[in-house]
Amino acid sequence: MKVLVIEDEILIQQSLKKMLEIKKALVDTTASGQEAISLIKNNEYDRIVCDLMLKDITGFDIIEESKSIFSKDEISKKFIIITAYSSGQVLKRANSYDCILLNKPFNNIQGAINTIITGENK
Amino acid sequence: MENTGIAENQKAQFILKNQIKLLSEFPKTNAKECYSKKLDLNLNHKSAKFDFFSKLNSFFLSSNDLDDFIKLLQKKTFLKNYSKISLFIHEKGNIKASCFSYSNKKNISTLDVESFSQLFNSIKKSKDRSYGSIEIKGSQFDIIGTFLSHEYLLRYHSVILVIGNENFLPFSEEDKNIFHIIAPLLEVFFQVFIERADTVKKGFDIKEALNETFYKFSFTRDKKVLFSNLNNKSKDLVRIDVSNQEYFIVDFNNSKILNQAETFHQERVKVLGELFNTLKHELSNPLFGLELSTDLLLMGGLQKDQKEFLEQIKISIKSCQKIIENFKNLYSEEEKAEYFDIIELINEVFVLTKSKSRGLKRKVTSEHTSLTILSSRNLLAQIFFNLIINSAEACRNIKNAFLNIHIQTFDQYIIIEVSDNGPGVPVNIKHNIFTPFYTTKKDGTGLGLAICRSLILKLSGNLRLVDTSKGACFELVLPYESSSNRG
Repeated sequence: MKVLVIEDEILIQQSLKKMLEIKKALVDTTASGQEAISLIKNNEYDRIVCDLMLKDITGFDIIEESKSIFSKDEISKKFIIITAYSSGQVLKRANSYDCILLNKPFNNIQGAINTIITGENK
Repeated sequence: MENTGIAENQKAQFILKNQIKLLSEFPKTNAKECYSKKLDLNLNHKSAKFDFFSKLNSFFLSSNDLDDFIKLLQKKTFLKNYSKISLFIHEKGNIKASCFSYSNKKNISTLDVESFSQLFNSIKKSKDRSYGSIEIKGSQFDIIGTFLSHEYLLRYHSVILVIGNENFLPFSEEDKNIFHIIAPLLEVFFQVFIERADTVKKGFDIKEALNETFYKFSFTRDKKVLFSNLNNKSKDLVRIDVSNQEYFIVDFNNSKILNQAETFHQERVKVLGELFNTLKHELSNPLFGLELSTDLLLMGGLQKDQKEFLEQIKISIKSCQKIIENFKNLYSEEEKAEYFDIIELINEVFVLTKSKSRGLKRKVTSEHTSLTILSSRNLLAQIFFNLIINSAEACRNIKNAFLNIHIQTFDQYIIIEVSDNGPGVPVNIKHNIFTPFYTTKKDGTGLGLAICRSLILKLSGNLRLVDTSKGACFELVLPYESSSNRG
């Protein structure tokens, strides 16, 4: 299981990495959106955990870029959006990709880790 | 031509006869005048008209309203043989017309505008303007027998005058002729009476409406109160002096000020809201990082005291997150209604006001341990925030200061009393505390309570100051639906 965590808050990024590694996942991390795009294009990730507000570009930009290599269905299954801004507009756009959205802070941390691993939001 | 001549002659004779009768009823008219008029008349139609007019004018002057006027007309002063006067009045634009009939007593009924127009047009078209045997459609107007009629097109109304004799004998030629002279003369009187009645009615409606309004008014002219909707001696009112003014414009000063206050408040909430949103994002992300990493560390094998430290860190993080969440309520423009526990909300606001209300013991008392209501969480948080801060400021130098919020339900209401043991509200400012921009504080905006009241009105509730012997006590009333009644 290969996971990419795109998050610019280092404590969140590294904690998620360690927690996912406990669940036997191979985890790559990055804080940069541009780097994330090249990582996605050069690796085969089963799951991409993507923050929306990055320093260079937005998570939505990354998803749009990924359309060149992933089908619509693949996008909805691979991407998991994590965000602290859950305004109506953001929710609407996230829903248009039909992928899982997790609000930060997570209500249930272990539940969120399981969701990332399984790709199912219980 | 000949026929007209004879008719003209006959008419004039009748007029003269009546004129003499009329004059004899005129006590103020002296004999000399009578004589000169008699000569003057000399079958002079114009003069007869003038005399009728002055008679009608005297009726007019001694009448308060249309009813009085008609009653005077009814005394058979002009016509010999009639017993009933009916007036159909239609205000332009109205779908109904009214019918007032005067015989022994006054009768009012309504008819639709189509029947009225039909009647109006047929009278207008009729050659000699006397119907004789022609019937008015719809017997509910109770016009039996022959009658004379005339139509009037006034400024805002159309009017039909019908004079009936309630028997089937036709009107005498004399009566017909006199009617033809008098009827057009009545126009100006009808116009005045009908419009006056309308104005009185509208004034009455306005008074009714003013009595019901939230704002208090007092209209005065030369220090005499013309109208006031005050039930008590409240000073919280708009005073309007209308001395030397024919017309006055009601300026809803108070509402303007209240709107200003609300706009001010909304602006403040908006600016602080934006500021807070930035702050929230900047704080909550690192906080979440701390939370996750603490959780991660807790997963590893740790010594007992290390674990306890981390647990304590986690509790602190949680409470920081909670405060951020609660501040969102305070600076959110959202007003949507939702179900929430009001006791929990007040406790949250207690936390937010902690630094401002140091030394003030605060507690919520209620027979309920939790109380779910349907209202706006954000607006109520803003209201309580204001009330608690006010109380804290007032109690700053009081020993053993306390603030008690007592919550009870009563029928379909929830009553919340916010009371403290501070200095209370001075009697001389009691009436002004809800007035926008009224303040006794050095740095006050004078908006706090005005906004509280306007917010609570939005929630269909009310806020008032309760008279107490000690401290200040505010009473909030909100609509409440007990869970058993909830769908």
